[in-house]
Amino acid sequence: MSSAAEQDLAQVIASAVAGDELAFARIVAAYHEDMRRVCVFVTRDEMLADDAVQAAWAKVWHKLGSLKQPERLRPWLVSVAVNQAKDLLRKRRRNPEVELLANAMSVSGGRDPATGVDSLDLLAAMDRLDPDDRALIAMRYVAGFDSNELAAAVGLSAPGTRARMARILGRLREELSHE
Amino acid sequence: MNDMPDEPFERQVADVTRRTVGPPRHVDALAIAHGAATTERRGRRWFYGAMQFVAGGAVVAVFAAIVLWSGVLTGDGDQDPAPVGSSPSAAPSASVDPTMPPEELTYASGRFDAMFESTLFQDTPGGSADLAGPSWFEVTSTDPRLEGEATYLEHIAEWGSEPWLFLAEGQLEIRNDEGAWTGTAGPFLTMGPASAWEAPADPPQGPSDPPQGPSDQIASAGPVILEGSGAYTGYTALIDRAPDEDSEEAQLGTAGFGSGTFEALIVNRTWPGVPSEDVWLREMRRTGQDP
Repeated sequence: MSSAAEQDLAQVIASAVAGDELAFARIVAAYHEDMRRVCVFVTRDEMLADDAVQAAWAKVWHKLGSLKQPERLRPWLVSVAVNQAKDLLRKRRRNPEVELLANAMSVSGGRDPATGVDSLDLLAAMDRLDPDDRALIAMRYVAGFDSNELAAAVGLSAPGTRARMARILGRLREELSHE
Repeated sequence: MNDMPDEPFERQVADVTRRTVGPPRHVDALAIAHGAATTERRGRRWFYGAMQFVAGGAVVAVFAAIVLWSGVLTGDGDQDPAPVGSSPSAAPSASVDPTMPPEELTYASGRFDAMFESTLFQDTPGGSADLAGPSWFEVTSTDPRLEGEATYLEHIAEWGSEPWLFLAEGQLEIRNDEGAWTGTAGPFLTMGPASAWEAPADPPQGPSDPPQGPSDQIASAGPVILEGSGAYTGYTALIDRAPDEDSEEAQLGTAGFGSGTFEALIVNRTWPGVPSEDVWLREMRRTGQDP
């Protein structure tokens, strides 16, 4: 991010912290879909993801002033949303009677010629990952976080984040090699 | 890391992940922003921070106090002075009423899970804001007496900016078909930052002295004392709560009431609250220490 863009972002954040809803809406417009799509992958449920992001924005409105580094806004926002999503997942597990509709999205099957792995098998394997690992995958491949943003979002160092990503991919690859 | 992974398997993972979540949708940012700013406020799962161990110790201390006060107030200390000629041994300072059942102490653990939380804003003169919000929780516990639905009505004051102070206190009620538990949760105190506080008048002497003044942010809260009613009349529950570790509030180091785990002690004694001066004077007169 250029210094001018950082300055602009800092001003937008400062305005939002001061109560400027329009400034806050600019932040929402820029990052809502990153948050929602990551939450969709974490929860595998669009309704749950929508609830998580809605709750996250309410939190962000009140907590934005605590953000000290504007350049960390995006990873911070996504991590707030992911935490909300994980909370909702926990509640759903404890209240199966109110379980929401399963995510209706699907991925068409078919073996990737380059890997020999069926995409549906891969999706099933990713579903078996814990929510933290799914969040990392979604932040990387959906929101397009680089190592530094991933590190800021999950509280690890950049090398530690790369190592964790490599372990997740290795586990998936290993699991699918047995299928 | 590049945007597009080179390795085929990683590329397939990226592709499946993106197809799973679908493309970005249109966002009504103004409506979302307005909703976040003016309607529901998600939970205040405030963090106990470094003071949590103090709160844990306080549970034990409060329990000890309950047992002590039960003895004092149900013994002679809550009655008229002993008549002349009565046996001195009949009036120990903390004697236990023989009609009282033996102390029965039960440990329990569980969770508060916020089902709905809100905050009502009320601006006050001078720029500060008082806030109050009713919240509903589902309470699960290893002891069925502490299970059910909970409501929490909170009053909040947020003062200053540099330094700032956040103070909250709320009325908590847990109820089920058998009875209810009510009490005051808090006060929850969070204040900071260190850079805004004036330096202490007497700075530390030498490198081994501990730092003085508040740390970057201080958060504190004590246990919640709940009085039983219905089937739980005559019982007191002491609850020590902790927010979920992965909550972002936990990382912010603030204190308050929200979803999280708890540990509790239930005792078949009542907590009389803060004693009045009369109680002390009566007890001192009775024991011959009249000032």
